[in-house]
Amino acid sequence: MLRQAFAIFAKDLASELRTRYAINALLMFVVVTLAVIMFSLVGETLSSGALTGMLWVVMFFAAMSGLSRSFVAEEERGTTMTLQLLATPMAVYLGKLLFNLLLVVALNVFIVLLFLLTMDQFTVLQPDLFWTVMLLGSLGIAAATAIIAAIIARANTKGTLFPVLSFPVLLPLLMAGISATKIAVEEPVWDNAWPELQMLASYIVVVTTVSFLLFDFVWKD
Amino acid sequence: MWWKILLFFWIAALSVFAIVTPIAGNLADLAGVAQWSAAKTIPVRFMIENTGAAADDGGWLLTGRDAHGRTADFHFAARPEGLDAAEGYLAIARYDSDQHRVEVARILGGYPSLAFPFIPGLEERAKIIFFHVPMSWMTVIAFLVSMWFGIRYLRKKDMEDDFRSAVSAGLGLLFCILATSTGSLWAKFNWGSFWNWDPRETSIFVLLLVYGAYFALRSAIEVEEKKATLSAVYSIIAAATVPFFIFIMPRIMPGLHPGSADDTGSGPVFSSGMDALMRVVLYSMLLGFLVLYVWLMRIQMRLHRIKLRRSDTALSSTERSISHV
Amino acid sequence: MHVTAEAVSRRFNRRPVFADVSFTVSPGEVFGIVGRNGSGKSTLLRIVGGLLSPSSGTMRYSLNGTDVEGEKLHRHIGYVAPYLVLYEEFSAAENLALYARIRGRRLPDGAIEALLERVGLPTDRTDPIRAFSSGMKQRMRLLFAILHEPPLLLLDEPISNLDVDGMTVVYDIVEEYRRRGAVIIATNDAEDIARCDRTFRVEGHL
Repeated sequence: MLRQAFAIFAKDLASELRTRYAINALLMFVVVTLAVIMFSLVGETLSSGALTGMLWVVMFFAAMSGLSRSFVAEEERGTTMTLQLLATPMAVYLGKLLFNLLLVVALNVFIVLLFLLTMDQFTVLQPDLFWTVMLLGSLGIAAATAIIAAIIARANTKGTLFPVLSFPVLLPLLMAGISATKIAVEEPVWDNAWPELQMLASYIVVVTTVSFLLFDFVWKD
Repeated sequence: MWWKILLFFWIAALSVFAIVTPIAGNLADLAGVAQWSAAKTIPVRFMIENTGAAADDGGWLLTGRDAHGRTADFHFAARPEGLDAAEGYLAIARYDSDQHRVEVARILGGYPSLAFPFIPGLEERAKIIFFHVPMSWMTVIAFLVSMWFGIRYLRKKDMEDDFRSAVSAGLGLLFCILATSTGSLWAKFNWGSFWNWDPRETSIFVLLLVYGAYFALRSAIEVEEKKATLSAVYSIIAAATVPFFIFIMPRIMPGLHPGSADDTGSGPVFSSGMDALMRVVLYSMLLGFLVLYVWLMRIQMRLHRIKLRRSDTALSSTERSISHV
Repeated sequence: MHVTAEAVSRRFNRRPVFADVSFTVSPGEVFGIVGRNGSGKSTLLRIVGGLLSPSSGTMRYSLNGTDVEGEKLHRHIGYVAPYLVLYEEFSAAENLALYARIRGRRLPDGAIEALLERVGLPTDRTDPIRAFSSGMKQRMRLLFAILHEPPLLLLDEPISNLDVDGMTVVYDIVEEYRRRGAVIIATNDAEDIARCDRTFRVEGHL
């Protein structure tokens, strides 16, 4: 099954590299959003804590604009049935999850690097904690959005419902992520963020497990 | 039939009782209030121990005993008319710490045998608990019932279960809106603004979002089987993430609701300090709302079956007309 | 492969498509599903292919005496239909390599060329199959179905869009898979029906 999943992941990656549909849209989205934030902050002094919120807003909306792509694309092209005939639902879910994971990690690394470069006022006291939180946050976003993307793709809503359905599910992750990032940015003690890190990890485990159990129903008519 | 009438009277009577029953404090409450506001008056009930005597300032002084058996001097500006010894009264009063006596502003009426306890900071506003808390509970219960029928649909593929799930979610949304609006209105008067992002306010906001997303998803899908499956899956996923709020919320924001981790100001509503009468009324009201919910579910289910029967006859009559052609 | 349908019904939005369909298909058989437009031939074929679950009734499959679970069914089925869309951004060879990889099959050198030649597709085209004609796409669908040599072939209107050569290719494959396992064809074409050993008429509701 892992081999199947990896083959589907490789197919999505090859397809994405060929069309560059999601990548281009996402990169432009990030650049435009950061530019708007920078324009609006000229001459303002903001604490690193306040900028943390902005960072997460950019990450959330970037995820919302691109992460439904892998499932919606299958439905739009009409290849869902082809994939149903090729692989088990498990393999499909795992393959798509891997693709989303790669996309969201790459995307968030890009966002954070750009953010660190452009926002002079944004300083991080604990870089190791900061990057751990970013990684866990990315994993959580990928896990939660994969199943929601599958739902909206099967509902044929072409992505308009994606943020609506995702937001309540992602909110605990966003809250914990923002809280932990603030600690990484403002406080010098790693241990203060321990409860948040535990929560992020258990969120990822719970959401992935539930998704695995339910994906069959979403995938089969 | 009879239980619907009973239900109506149950909720109506409880509502009237909750509103009419006075809030009455005792001597400890008076002393407590005096510590942070010397001029503040509160309702207090007391029994008269003796008829008293004229005070040196021209007023009237008598001894009163509160529900806990503690006594104090009660001072009136003028000799009160028609007060009987050994009778009880409900008065608006304050505690004068300098003179060590209770200043009675006015007598409201006789000693109320049933009264809700005085809760500092809430007073009459504490009565929201009898309406707001049952609504909030029903919001959560309706959501859980909806999810339960969703799971049953996924197992048995019975469209009836999906309909139950949707109806329960609809009622949950109704209760959610009621709880949010009553709570928000109340918060304006008690906490000073309509919305404070306290953990519980945030939770109900999230539930509102989940309900909204659930119905947005349902209305976007046309094939009923798909609608049933996908909305059931969504409600399960949403339910799986909600418990994380309970954990993360108190770490992020201070709680205003009673029962929060750092609850100090709002007093013992709905905790050990809530007295027996409040509990009885609250749980009775909860029972009333629960039966109301069941009744609304039954009405919706009957309506659904009638609609189905009508569309079935419409379907078979078109079939007949086609075969006649 | 033995296929058994027991009292299978399907509804969409509570409107019955067909009800109480029962039949058995045995190895070595070419089984035809016929019926007028809208009677539910394709719906029935999707149910047989495990793509759609029946509203009531059961489908059972057995291969050499052992039951096949629904989870593994897709390994033993080849499916061709006009509504089947392949990955149009990849070339023909890339598509075939992709299917083989997802199905966990190793294709020997030259296998892809042999497959393409078998259905009469050019072996030297590296452009995406988006540019293919509808007849060429239909030939690609045939390859999608037979690449893993399944014991059950499900064909929905297999000769649509095909020329005379293409029809010969389809019927060659039908004869081959009659020997390998079983073939089920959903069709109204007289030419197709002539190839069937037995036919079953779906009486769908309007």
